[in-house]
Amino acid sequence: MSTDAVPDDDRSARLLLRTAARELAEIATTLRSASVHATAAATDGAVGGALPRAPAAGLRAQRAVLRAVTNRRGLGYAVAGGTAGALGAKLGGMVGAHSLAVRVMTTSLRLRIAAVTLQNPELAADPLLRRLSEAVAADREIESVRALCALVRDRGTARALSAIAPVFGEVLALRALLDQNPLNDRTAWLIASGSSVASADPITGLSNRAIAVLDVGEGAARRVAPRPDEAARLRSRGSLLDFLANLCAVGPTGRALVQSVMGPDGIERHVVQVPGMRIGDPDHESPGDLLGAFSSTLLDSAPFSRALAKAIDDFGVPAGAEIAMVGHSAGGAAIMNLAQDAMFCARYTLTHVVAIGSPVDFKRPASPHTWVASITNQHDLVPSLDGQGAGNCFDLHPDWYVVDYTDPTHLFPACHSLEHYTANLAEDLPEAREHIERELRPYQGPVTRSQLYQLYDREAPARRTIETRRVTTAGGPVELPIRCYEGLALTAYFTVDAQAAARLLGDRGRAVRMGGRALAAIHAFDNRRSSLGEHREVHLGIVVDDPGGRQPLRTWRELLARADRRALGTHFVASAFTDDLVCAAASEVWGHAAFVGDLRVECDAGRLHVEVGAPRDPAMALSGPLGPGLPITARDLVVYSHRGGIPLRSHIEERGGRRAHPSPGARLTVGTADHPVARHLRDLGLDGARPMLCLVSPARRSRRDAGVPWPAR
Amino acid sequence: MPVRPDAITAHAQTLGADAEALTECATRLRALAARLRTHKATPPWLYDTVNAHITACVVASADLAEASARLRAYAALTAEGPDDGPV
Repeated sequence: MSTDAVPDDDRSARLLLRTAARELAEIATTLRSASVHATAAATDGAVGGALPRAPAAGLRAQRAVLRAVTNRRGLGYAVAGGTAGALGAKLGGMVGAHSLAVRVMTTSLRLRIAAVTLQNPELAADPLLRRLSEAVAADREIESVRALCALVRDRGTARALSAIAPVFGEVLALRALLDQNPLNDRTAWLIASGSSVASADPITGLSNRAIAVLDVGEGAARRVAPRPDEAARLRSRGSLLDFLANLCAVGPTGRALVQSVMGPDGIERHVVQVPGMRIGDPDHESPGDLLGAFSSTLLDSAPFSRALAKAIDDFGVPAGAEIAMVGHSAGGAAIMNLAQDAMFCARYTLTHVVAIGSPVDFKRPASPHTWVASITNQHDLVPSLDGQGAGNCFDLHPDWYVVDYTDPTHLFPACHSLEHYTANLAEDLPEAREHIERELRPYQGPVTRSQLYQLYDREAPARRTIETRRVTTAGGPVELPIRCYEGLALTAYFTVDAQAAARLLGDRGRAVRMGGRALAAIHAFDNRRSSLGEHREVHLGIVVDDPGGRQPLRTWRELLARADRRALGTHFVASAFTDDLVCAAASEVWGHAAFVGDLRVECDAGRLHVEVGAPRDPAMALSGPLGPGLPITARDLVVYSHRGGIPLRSHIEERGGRRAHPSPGARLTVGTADHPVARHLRDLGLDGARPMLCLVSPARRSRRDAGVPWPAR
Repeated sequence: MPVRPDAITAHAQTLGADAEALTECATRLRALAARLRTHKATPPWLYDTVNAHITACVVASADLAEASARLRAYAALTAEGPDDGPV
């Protein structure tokens, strides 16, 4: 399955074709250089300016030069370079006039595709893929778009991308060289000649750098504690597979792990482990968001790498100490940016960099003594985002240890996941794993210290002053608003019988109806760090519209409104807490029907578990897989309640990424105990029900102030 | 505009060097075609394509050599004085 496992004949054939492709690219570069020189001669004012001195000879010379840059049997339409050349090239591109340089480069790209096809025979065997590559190579633009549409229609986007992944860069470059869009020609040339990172989108020609420079910030890192389940998964020894297991445990959450390990020689060294792009908002405060992934790939320094440098500094790695770095996806690009930072390499001794599934082809470590390994699956699109993929014919890094392999699981993005790479390295690539383990031997030993960091684009601004006040409750004084600095939030929505919901609400609100059914919600919060200490809470509520007596609302439009203008909210009918003080506050400040008891609120590996009551006989348990999800924006929650007969309205301000899971596989089980939560759930007929929607915020921050009487008086 | 024969000569020299480079490209392409001809992995479309490239390189080299020679002559004349010869 790996490149090492193919027959010698195939390998020598691939080498032959790649060598030929590289030679053709070099020839194309020479041809382009000649075109630029001839264009310069044709447009230089010195040539035209001397015409009065020798008009006949001057015109003969100009005619000869013009012929050289326009002869279809020679250099072709070869206007290139300089302002006039760039303009002429764009005009030529718009009418599809190609130069000999472009034709030779096209041949180079087609040979690269042929070389990749030898290793991935399905590219030739698949009629849809063959149709696409033939149409692209033959410069049949409409046919190539049709072929791509047919591929997507037949396989779906994910499978189509997976199928085309090994030749993705070549197909894009071919199309860009031959299409009538002059804006993408430069990027196509960069990809085809292997001279630099693709600086623009090869389809539209829009500059990637223009997007990347939007990612600004000096970078910041703050110490955070791993969740208990994460802490349990972090390894206590150092090795490649242990570091990969750590990365899997941390996940793409915008965090990085720094560890110290005691090497076999008794010397303490340090390992920086950086997961890939943070899932969710593309322009989050995390430097590992989509924008950060762009900038880390295209720029030499970005907030991601600067935040990592601050984490290493905060960890207290002594000057001159030996460091190894392991990164996945955008994390790999970020650690390579650190590796090419001469100041960083002067401060520390960066001995090893292992980039997994990362676009790092055009990055160079500042120190020649830094050992670099790049591991890429040929069906993973992400490593080819810098323009060079499986078809690369240039020996960009003769001194790197490069593992570029294929495996039978072609589906992207599954083949990009760190878990997939880890499984490949653990089970399918023993030689590569052994080689890297041997190199990392100085880092094999017990972990002596471990610290997780949350990374940010910027240092936190001076804290916004929050006006706080104390209220006295039966449980003691409570500071309002109650703030949660770090926590987990799970919400599950169920459809319930409208009459049952109305009975439960009484005159305290009007349940929103959806298809004749009402909506019940379970809100579960694990407040790991809050102004009231660590505590958990679970609320059962009914989704209600304006309890003030106005007409029923247009619910879907209401969902878009800001919380302070939204009438749609949830009336909490029962609330359970793990802490007496919080319970007292809930009862006395908001008037919730509050209870203290055992609670579990957990979410791990795509499964949620919420439990109320004693573990042996819980009043309720909501447990099971979340199913596929998609990132959404966090929305504040409007809460209605009654205190002493007065209706109150409050809202919980929510921050942090959130995912919606529209088809969860979790199921609610209601216990037999005479617990208010169990009683209400039974009344609503929810025993054994599956939620229609789950929302998960794994890194939630929130704030909740006292309620105000509603309707406003 | 001042007359600068040296600038024209510089263009002539560059294009002359490019003409030689393209002759070398044609030679490389011939060697490449010969190398690939015997290998079964070579795609069948490659021979005709490379042959077309060789021909184009030879023509382009001749074009550049011609342009270089014309520029050289032009530079020499501009250094001397007006020229009334046929265009």
